[in-house]
Amino acid sequence: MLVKSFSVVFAMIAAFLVSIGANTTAKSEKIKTALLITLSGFIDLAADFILPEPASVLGFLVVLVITHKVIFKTNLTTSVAFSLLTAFLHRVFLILFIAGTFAFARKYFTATTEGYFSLMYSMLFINVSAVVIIWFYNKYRNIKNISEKSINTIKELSIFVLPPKMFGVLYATVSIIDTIFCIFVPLSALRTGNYELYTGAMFVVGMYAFLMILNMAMLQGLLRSEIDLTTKTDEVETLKNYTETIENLLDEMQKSRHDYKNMILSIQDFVIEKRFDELGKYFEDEILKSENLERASKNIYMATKQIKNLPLKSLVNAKLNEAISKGIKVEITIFAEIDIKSVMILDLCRIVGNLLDNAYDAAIESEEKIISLIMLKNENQFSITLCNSFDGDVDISKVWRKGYSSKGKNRGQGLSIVKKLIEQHPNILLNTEIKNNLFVQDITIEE
Amino acid sequence: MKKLKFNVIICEDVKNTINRISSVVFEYFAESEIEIDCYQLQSDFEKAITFAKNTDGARNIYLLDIDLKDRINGLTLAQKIREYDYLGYIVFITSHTELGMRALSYKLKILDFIDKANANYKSRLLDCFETIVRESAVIKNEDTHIMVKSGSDYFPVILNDIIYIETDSIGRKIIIHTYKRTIESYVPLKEIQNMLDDRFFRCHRAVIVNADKIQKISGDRKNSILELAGGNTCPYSSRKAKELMAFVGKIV
Repeated sequence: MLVKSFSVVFAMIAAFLVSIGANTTAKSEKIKTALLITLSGFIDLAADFILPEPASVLGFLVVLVITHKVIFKTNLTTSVAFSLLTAFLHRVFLILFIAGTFAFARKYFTATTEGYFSLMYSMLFINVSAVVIIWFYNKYRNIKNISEKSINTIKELSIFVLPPKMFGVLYATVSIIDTIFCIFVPLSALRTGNYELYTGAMFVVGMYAFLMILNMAMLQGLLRSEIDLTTKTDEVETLKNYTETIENLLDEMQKSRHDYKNMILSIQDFVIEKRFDELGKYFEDEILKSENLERASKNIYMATKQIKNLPLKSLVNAKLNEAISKGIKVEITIFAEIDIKSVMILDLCRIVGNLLDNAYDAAIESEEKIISLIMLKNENQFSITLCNSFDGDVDISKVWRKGYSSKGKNRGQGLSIVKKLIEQHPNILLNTEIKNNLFVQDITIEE
Repeated sequence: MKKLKFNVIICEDVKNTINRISSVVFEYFAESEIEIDCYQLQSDFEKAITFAKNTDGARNIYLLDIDLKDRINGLTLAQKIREYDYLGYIVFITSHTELGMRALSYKLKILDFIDKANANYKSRLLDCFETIVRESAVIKNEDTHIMVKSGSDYFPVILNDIIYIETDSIGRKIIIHTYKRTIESYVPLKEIQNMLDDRFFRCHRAVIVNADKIQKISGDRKNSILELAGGNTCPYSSRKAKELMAFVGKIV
C-alpha cells in the first residue's frame, strides 16, 4: 500500500510535467488535464483501498472515465483512451518503483504475496495495454481510414505527446539505468551463484534489445511519414503559387479587355476631332504595343505548358512575364516535355531563378534588351539554355564571385549561389560563354 | 590537302522553294573546287537523320525549313541531327523570324536563320556558304583544337584559348576555362591531359595549367597561387613547385 502511494505520487509528478510541457493544447486544457491526473492518483489509492486486486484496476478505470467525461465533455472513446493511458502510466511507475526498491534499497523491501500479485497484475496490464496501443497505431497508420471521430480523439490525446527533446533525454536516461541494471544483476548473480537469476536477467536484457529494434523501426516509419508530409506540403505550396500565377494572368486579360474599351473611346475622340496624324501616332505607340504585350504573354504561357514541374513552370512564367512588361524582348522555345526528377525541385528553382534574375538585370540595362530561353531533352539529359544581352564588359573569371556586380554594392549574390548549387550537384553541367554580344548559360541535367 | 566534300541536304516542303534554294547552292559551288552532292528531301525526316548518322568523310550542310508540318517538328529534326552530327552545319530557312531563338542558335549551333520571303535571302545564303568553306579550312588543322564532350554535345576548344583546367570539389567533373567561356565535362582530367600538347602542365592534383597563360607564380608556401591571364587564378601544389619553375623556364 505504501509502495503503491509512492509510485502514484511519482506518476502524478511525471504526468503533471508532461502536460505542462505539451505544446499543442490550450493552457486551460493543460491545467485541467494536469489536475485530473493528480486526482487520478488519489482515485487509484482509493480504489485500491476499497477493492481487491485486480478489481481495483477496473474500479479505477471506471471512475476515471466518468470523471474525464464530465470534466472535458468528450465522447466515450476519448475518455476511455485517456484513462487507459493514465492507468498505464501508474502501473509503469509502480513496477519501476518496486524494482528500484529491490535493487537499490533492499532493506526497505518486504516481499509479500500481495505485493507479488500486485506486481504481476501490473505487468500484465502494461503488456496488454502496450499490445492494444500498438494495434491501434497500426490500424490508424493509414490516415485515410480514420473517421472524423477518431481524428478528434487522437487530437485530444495529444497531451501525451512528448516534445522531441524530452523524448531523447528520457530515452537516454532509461537506457543508462537499464544498462547499469544489466551489468549489476548478472554480476551479483554470478557472485552469489544464483544462475536462475542470471538467466532471467539475460532474458530480460534480450527482450529489451528486441524492443529497441522495434522502436527503431517505428521511428523510421515516423520519419518517412514526416518526409512524405513535407513533400506534400511543398507540392501544395507550389500548386498555390501556380494557381496564383494563372489567376494573375486571367486578371491581366480582364484588364486588357477593359483597356481596349478605353482605347476605342480615345480613338473615337481623335476621329471626332479629326486629329488623324495624332491618331496614327497614338495607334502605333499605345495600341500596337499593348497588343504585342498580350500576345507575348500568351506565348509564354503556351510555351511553358510543356514544363511539367509546376514550381519551375510558374517561376519561368512569372519572371519572363515581368521581363516582357518591362520592355525586354523574350524568346522562348520548349522542345519537349520537361519533367526533371533527378534534381530537388527547390534547388532547380533556385538555380533557374537566379540565372533568370541575372539575365533580367543585365538585359534591362542593355541596349538590345533581349532574353532568349530554350529547354530541350536529349536521350537521358535535359538542357536549359539562357541567353541575355548585356552592355559593357563581363569578366567570366569574376562573374561567379560573391559581390561581383555591375549593379552596385550588395548585389551580385545570385550567381555565386548558382555556382555553389551546381557544385553540390555532380549531375548538372554548366557551360558559360560570351558570344556575339550575348551572355550564355547552358545547363545540362543528367536524368 | 584532302579535298573538301560536302553533302547539301535540303528539307523543304514547298517545291518552289526547294528549286530556288538548290539553284543558289549549285551557283555557289559550281565556281569552287569543292565537290558537293545535293539531296532534296522534302519531309523525309528519317533520310535526313540517316545522313547525320553516316557522314562518311564528307561534311553535311543541312538547309532546313523549320515550318515543316509544324514548327516543333522542324526544330526536333534539327535537334536529332545535332545528336548524331556535331560537325555538320545547319541553316534554318523559315518564314517566321520573329521567334528569333538566339538560345536555339547557340545550343544547336545553327549558322543562320534565313527568311525565305525576304528579298535578300539569296545573299544571306551565299554568306553562309562562304563562312562554311572558310571554317572548314581552319578546322582541318587537327593540332589547334580538341573536341570536348559536354553532356551530349561536342565542343571544339582551341588549345591556345585554354587558360587552365580544374576539377570540381567532388572530382566528378572538369571545368575548362578560356577567355570567353567555361565548359564543364565528365571527361576525366587524366584523359583530357592526354589530348593536350606540351604547353600544358599538371601543376596540382586537380589542375592542369597552360604555361603560356601564367603571369605570375606566387611562391608562398601557404598561398601557392598562380596568377593567370584573363584575371584567373589557380592553385598549384608546392611539391611541384620546382618542376613548375623548370617547365615555365623551358617555355620562356
